[in-house]
Amino acid sequence: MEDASQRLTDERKTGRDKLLGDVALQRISAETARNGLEMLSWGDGALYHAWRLAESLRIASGDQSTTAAIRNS
Amino acid sequence: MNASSAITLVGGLGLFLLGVHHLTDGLKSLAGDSLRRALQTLVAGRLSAVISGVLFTVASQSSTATTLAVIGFVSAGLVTFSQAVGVIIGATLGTTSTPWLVAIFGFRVSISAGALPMLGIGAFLWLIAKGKTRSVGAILAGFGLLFIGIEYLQTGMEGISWNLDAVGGNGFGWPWILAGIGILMSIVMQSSSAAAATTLVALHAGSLTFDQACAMIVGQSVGTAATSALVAIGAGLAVRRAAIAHIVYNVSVGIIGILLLGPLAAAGRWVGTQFDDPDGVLALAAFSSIFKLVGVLAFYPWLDGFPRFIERISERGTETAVGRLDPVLAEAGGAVALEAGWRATLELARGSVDAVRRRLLGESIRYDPPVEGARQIEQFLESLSLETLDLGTFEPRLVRLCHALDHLNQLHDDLTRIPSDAGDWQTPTGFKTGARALATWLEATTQRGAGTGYHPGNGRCLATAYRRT
Repeated sequence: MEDASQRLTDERKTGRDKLLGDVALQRISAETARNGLEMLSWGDGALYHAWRLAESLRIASGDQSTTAAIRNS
Repeated sequence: MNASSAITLVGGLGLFLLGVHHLTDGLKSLAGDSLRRALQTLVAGRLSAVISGVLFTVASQSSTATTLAVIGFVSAGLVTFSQAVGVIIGATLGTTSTPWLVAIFGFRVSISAGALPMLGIGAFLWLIAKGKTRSVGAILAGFGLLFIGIEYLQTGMEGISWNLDAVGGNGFGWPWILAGIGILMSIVMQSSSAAAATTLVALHAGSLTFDQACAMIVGQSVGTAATSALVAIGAGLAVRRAAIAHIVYNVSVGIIGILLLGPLAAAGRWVGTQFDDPDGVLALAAFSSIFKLVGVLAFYPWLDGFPRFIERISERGTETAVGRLDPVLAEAGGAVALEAGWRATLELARGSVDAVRRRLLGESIRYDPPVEGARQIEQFLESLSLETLDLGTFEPRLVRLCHALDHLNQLHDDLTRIPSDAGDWQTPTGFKTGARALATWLEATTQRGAGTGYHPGNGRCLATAYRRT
C-alpha cells in the first residue's frame, strides 16, 4: 500500500502538469481540468490516509518489530 | 432485640463487607492479570469453562469479578457467549468458598487474636507501599477486617432473637418464605457472601435452626441475580445477556434447591458429622457447596442449549465491534479493552477503506462515514484506566491506535467530500494500483470465522492473525 500511495503522489504531480497544460492549450474544458485536479488531490490524500491507517493498525496490533519505531515517532 | 445488639450487628456487617472489598481488590491487583489470562485460555471447553469459573472466583473471592471479567471478554469478542455462560455457572459454585472461609477461620480455627495485627500491618503496607506489596497489604487488611467483622456479628447476634418460626411457620410454605428473606438479605447487603456470613453467625448463635439457615442460603443465592439485573441496566448486549443467564440460572437452581431442601440439607448435615461441628456451621458451608454443585450438574448437560435459549429470549441488538464497546470491558483487563478498541477501529476502517477503493476504481459511491462510531471509540479509549494497563507493554499499541483513529477521522473527512467525475479525463494508473492494494489489505483483514476470530485453545486472537498477514 505504501508503494501504491507513493506512486499516486508522483502521478499527482505529473498529472497536474498535464491537466494544466491541456487546459492552457484548450484541449480540455476548464471544468474537466478542475474536476481532474480535485480527483487527483482527493485520491492521493485518501490513499495516503488509508495507508497510514492500515499501518497504524498493524503496529497497534502488537507487532514487536515496530515498537522502537513508534517510540521514536 | 436491643438497640446495642442491632448497632453491633450492623457495624460488624459493615466491617465484614469492607473486609471482603479490600480482600477482593488486593487479590485482583496481585494476580488479576495472570488470573484473567488463565481464564481467557481455559474457557475453550464446557468443563474447563465451568472449572475456570470456580477457580477464578475462589482466587478472587468475588463471583462479580469473575462474571464481569468474562463479560468483558465477550464484549471484546474474545470468547463466545456460550463459553461465558460456563464460566458464570462455575462462578456461582466458586462463591461458596467464602462460607467455608468464614466457617473454618471464623468459628473453628480461631484467628481472632491475629486479626488486629493483620489489619494494622496490612493497612500500613497498603498506605505506604506500591505495586504488589500494596496488594498484599490490602489482602491482609481485608482478612483482618473480615474476621473482626465476624466477631462483632457474633456479639451482636447474641442479643437478637430471630423468631423465624413465627415468620415462616411450620407449614408447607416456610422454606419459600425463608428463601424470600434470604433474597432480601442479599439485595440489601449487595453481597451473598455477607448474607451467608450473617446466616452462619445466626446459626452459630442458635438464632436459626439448620433447615431454616439452609432455606435462607438458597434465597441468598437467588438474591445475587438482583445485582446482575442492576449491572445490566443501560449496559451493552453482552452484559444484558449475561445478566439474563445469571438470573434464569439462579432462579432455576433456587427452585431446585427449595424443592430438594430436605435431601440437600441432609447431605450437608452428613458432611458436618464428619468433622467436629456441634453448631452446624461446617454443615451449612457444605450445604451451600452441595446445593450449588447440584445446580451446576443439573445445567451441565444443557450448557450448549442454555446460551442459545438466552440468546433467543433476549432482545436483538448491535453485534458490531463498536457496539460491543462497554465500560465493563475494563473489568477484563487493559489488554482486552485495548484489543476491543483495536477491533472496533479495524471494523470502521474496513468500511471506509472499501469506499475509497471503489471510488478509486471510478465507481460512483454513496458512503456515510461512521463519524459517530469513531467518536465512540475515542470516548472508550479515553475512559480506560491507565492503571489497568501495563504501560511498558501497551503504551506503543495505545499510542498507535490513537494514530489510527486520527487517520480514520481524516479518511472520513475525505469521504464527506468525494469529487464528482471529471468527464472524459482518464485517471492515472496509480488509482487502479491503489485500489488493488486496498483490496489486498481488505482481504487480509477479513475477520475469519465471522465470529470472534479468537481461538482460546492456542491463544490466538484477531490481532495476532492480523500480524501474520
